[in-house]
Parts: sequence; structure tokens; C-alpha cells
Amino acid sequence: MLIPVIALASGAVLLGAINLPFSDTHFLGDWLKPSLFGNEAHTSTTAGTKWMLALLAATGSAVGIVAARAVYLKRRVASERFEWAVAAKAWHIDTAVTSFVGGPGRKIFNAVNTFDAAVVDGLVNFTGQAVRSCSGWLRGFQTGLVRFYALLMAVGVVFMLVWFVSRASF
Amino acid sequence: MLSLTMPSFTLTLLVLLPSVGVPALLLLPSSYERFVKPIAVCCSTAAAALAIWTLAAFEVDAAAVDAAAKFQFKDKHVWIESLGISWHLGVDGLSLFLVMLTALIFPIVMLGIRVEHSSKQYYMWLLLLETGCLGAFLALDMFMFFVFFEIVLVPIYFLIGGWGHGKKVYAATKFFLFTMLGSAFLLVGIVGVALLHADATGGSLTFDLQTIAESQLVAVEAARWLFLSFMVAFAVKVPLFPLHTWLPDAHANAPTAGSVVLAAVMLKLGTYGLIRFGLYLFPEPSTYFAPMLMTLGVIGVIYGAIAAAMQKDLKRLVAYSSIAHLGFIVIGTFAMNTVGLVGAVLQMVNHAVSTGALFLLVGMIYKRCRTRKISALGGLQKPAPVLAAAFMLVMLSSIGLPGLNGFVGEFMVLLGAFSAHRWWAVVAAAGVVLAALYLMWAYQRVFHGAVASENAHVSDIRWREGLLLSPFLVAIVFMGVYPKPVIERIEPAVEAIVAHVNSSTHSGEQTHG
Repeated sequence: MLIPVIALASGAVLLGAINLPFSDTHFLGDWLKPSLFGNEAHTSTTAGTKWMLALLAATGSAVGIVAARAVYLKRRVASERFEWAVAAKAWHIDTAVTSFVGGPGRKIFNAVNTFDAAVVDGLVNFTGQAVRSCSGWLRGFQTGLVRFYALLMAVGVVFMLVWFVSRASF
Repeated sequence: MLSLTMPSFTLTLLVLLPSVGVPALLLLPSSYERFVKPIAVCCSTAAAALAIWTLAAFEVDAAAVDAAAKFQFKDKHVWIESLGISWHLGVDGLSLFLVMLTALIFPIVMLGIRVEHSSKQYYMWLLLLETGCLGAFLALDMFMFFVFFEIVLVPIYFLIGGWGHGKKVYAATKFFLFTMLGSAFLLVGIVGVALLHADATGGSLTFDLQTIAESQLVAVEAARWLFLSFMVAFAVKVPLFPLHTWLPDAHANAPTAGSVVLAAVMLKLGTYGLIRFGLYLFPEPSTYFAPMLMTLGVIGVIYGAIAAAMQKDLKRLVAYSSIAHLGFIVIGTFAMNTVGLVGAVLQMVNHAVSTGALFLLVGMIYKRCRTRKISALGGLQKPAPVLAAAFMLVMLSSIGLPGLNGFVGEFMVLLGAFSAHRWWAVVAAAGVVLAALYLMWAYQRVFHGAVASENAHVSDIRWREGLLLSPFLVAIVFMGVYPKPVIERIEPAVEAIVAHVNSSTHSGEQTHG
């Protein structure tokens, strides 16, 4: 285990070192700059704040190392005091996400899929069916019988006469 | 630096070369059936060679290009003088890679995918489709663009209807009707803008895209209506929600070659149109309607991803994933800044490569298992580990994993959208997570777990299939690791369009005010 840990630790140090938050040490930031087309955000943090944050992070790490040494190497404190069940279950985040995705999440996804098939695509198919029905109905007027067309013309002539008469001023 | 000179008729030759094969195949006696495929592949490969030459000769340095023209290798001839219609072709960074994709994908699908019947007609339609797509991407005359845009419909209708599966006639008819509806709006828009431009100049009628776009003489209110008319046509083609329902049916029932061409090339006619005939031709209306179109893009990203997750058919899943990916392209386009637009154009290329490869892989799975039903597949990784590995790589590219092509495009689109309209980008970013959900879940169900007894002895990828896939896999990795050669060719054209939009919008505001 020692060699992988050393490799990981070296990588962590290297990755931290390539973009330190102080002037002329933004190697990663400068390298990525052209890819961001001038959209990078600039923070206006003072040097004092940066040092304080760095110190806070380093202190946190040191406290963790010291505490881990006391618990697991020196056995001064029982490890059970820190190994909470909730931590073992990763704060229940995984189970909560799984329950949501498998429960209401799945129902929402199914509802969207049904909406797509029944409403969006349904509207398209309904238009097609409506056109087909109208065409079928209109086709009934095309009997091919001359006397039927003559009747329709006669009805049209009557309608036109009624219209002209109604608009005439006697 | 390498400098190649090209004859002025190169682009004309590029457009017409595939269609040369159509009469050749038509006149070929049926006893010479064995020559059908070689003739088609020769014509298509010749076009691919010309496209590669165009790429090599393309001037990267924007300063070296005629600043007023922006387009390279222009070829212009009078076509119908009385109506101001000309045969006008040209290429810029926006169309360059779409032309390359078109010219390369057609010979690949012709070589790699076997046709089951009526090969003569099949290859004739493919060649005509290639000419239509190339012409549409290169046309600088609006009437010419319309002609090519329409030509494309006929071959794909027959390819789906004749060589597809399942409800192929329903899918082909639905696709045709949807696109014809859009085309009607496009024709009205083209005629309208040409007439209003002629009215404003008091001169003769012209359909020249550059002349009309650069002069910006159409009144703002009229331009907004005309813009909407163009947008309906392109929204159908992209497709944008709620005009997308033709796409899953067309993809699911099309032959593999049809699906690949549809995803890789034809959908790009819509996204290309949004930029060329949206932002470039109508800069002010594009700015005015950008929030609406970005909203439709975001809906497409989320809606497409959710619908994809629930699909039971692997091909329909990939089809819905296309709706989500194309939503990203729309978002990047209407972010109206350089990074968003470069991302959108790059994402067009990425989507073509990744989704084209996904459809090829789904075709290979179907060929082996005779089903695309996800529940009937499972455990394929055991009998076909190389197929599984290829699927994994393409799937990760589609998800947008850093180091692969999808990441670069999506990142730039989201960056551009975030600078322009923060909340749209935040919601769209959820689409990246959803993409991981539906694609990895699909992968898990298809390749992991116990292998179904009927799939236990399926064969792995053969060398011929490997050759077919390899250009896609190489492009996925190359563009993910080193996208610079692509971006630096796209960027000058995009910058010119952004500058055109900004200057026209400001002068439009002054006129409007």
C-alpha cells in the first residue's frame, strides 16, 4: 500500500503546486486561459485572506493527521467513537438518490414519455386521422353520377339567386 | 506553410461528382449488377478526395482571406438572370467540416454496410442524397439552397420507405410531411426576403445570400416575421421540441445507412440553417428571439434525455439522445457569442461522429441478435468484448467525458451560454448528467449481466466492421485531445458572424428607435 499512497500523495502535491493562488503561480490557470475565450472569473480576494484560507486548510489537514494517529496508531481513543453508522452509510445520500430515482424520478420520466407518445405525437397522428376522415367524408360527394353534379349546380344557382335578390334594392 | 491553389470550379465539381453516378447506375444493364457498388463508391470517394483537398487548401489565417467575402473558393455563375438566381458556391469555417463529414461519411456507409436488395436504386438514392447535402452546405444563393434542401427529402424518403424496417412507410411519410411543412415556410421566407430586399434597393431581384445579409435593408418588423418563417423550417429539421416526433420514428425504422446519414449529416442542415439563415441573414431578429430559441433548446436537452431514458428500443434511445444533443447546439448558437457559437459548430461535428458511430454499433448489434429491444439483449460483453469496448468509447464521447470530443463542444456551449444567459446554462448542464444516466444504464442492460442463451454465441466485431468504425473512434479521441485544428478553422467564420450580428443589431436599434 505504501507505494500507491506515495504516488497519490506526490500527485496531490504536484496538482496543488501547479495553481497556487499567489501571483505568478497560476500555471494551470494560464495554460487553460485560451480555452476559456476570456470567460474566466477573477476573484478579488486579498493576499491576507488567501494566506488565512491556506493556513486554515493546512491546519485542518494537520489536525486530521494527528487525530488519525491517536486513534488508529496509538489507540488512545476508541475508533468506534468516530465511526458513526451514518458515515458508514455515506450519510444515506446513495440510498436517498436511489429511492428518488427509482420512485418518483421513474414516474416523472414515464410521464414525460407518455406525454410525448400520447400528446405530442398524438396530436400529429390525430391531424392525420382527421384529414383522412374529412377526405373520406368529402369523397362521398364524388359519386360520378352526372345528375348528382347537376343537382349540386342547381342548388348553387338557387343560392346565388337568393344572394343577389337579398342584396338588390327594389 | 502549405499553400494549395484550387481551380474555381472545385466546389461545383465536389457537389456534382456524386450525382454523376446516378445516370451511370441508371444506364447500367442489370447483368452488370456487380459494378453497382464500385461505381457508387468511386463517385463518392472522388468527392471525398476533393473535400480533403478543400480542407488542405482552406486558408486558416483569417487575415489572408478577403475580409469582405469571408467565403473561400467561391464559384459563381448566372443561373436564371431575370430572377437574380445564380449558381453560387463557397465555403467558410462554418460549412467546411460539415462538407468534410458529408463527403467522408457517405463512402464509409456505402463501403461498410451491405444492402439486402435492390442495390442499384439504393446506391442511386444515396448518391443523390450526398449531392443534395453537399449543395445545401455550400450554396450561397438562397434559391439554390432551397433546391438542395428539397432534393435531400426525396432520397431519404425512399431509403426509409424501401430499405427500412417495421413501420417504415409510416415513418417515411411522417418525415416527408413534417419536412415539407417546414419547407413551405422556408420558401415563403426566401421569396419574401428577396422581394423586400428588391423593394428596399429599388433594384432588381436577387437571391444572393451575401448581398442580402450584408446590406440588411429589410425593415425590422418584416424581418422578424421572415426570421420566424425560416426558423420553422430549421426547427423541424434540427428537430426542436415540439416538432421532433418524426425523428425517433425515422431513425428506428430507417436502414442503418439511413440512420447514420440522418444523424450525422441531415440534422445538421437544420442547425447549419439556424446560423447561416438565422444569425447571418437576420441578425436583429436572432437577437430578439434568442431567449425563446434558447428555451426550446433547453427543453430539448432535458425532454430528449428523459424520453431517451425510458426507451425500450436501443435505436429509439439513440434517436432521443440526438434531440438532447441538438438542443445543446441550439443553446450554443443563440448564446450569440464566439465561444458558444464555436462550441455549437464543433458540437455539430462531434454529434455527427458520436451518434453516427452509435447508430453503426446499434446496427451491428441488430445484425447479430436480430432485435433492438434492450430487455432482450444483455451480457453481450462476454461474447463480443471488442464490440462492447467500442460501444463504451462512443458512449463516453456522447456523454461528454473529458479527453473525448463531446466534452470540448459541450463545455464551450455551456461556457458561452453561461456568459449570455446564466440560468439556461445551469438547467442545460443537468442534461449532461441525464446523458450519463440514460447511456450508462443502456450500456449496463445491453452489455453487462448474464448473457441471454440466444446471444451467447454472437460473434465479435469483424475486421471489416472494425475498419468501418475506426475513423469514428480515431476522430473521437483526436478531437477530444487536440481540437485546435478544428477550432482554429471554425473560429474566424464565427467571429465574423458575431461581429455582423453585433454591428447589425446596434445599427438596427438606432433605426428602430
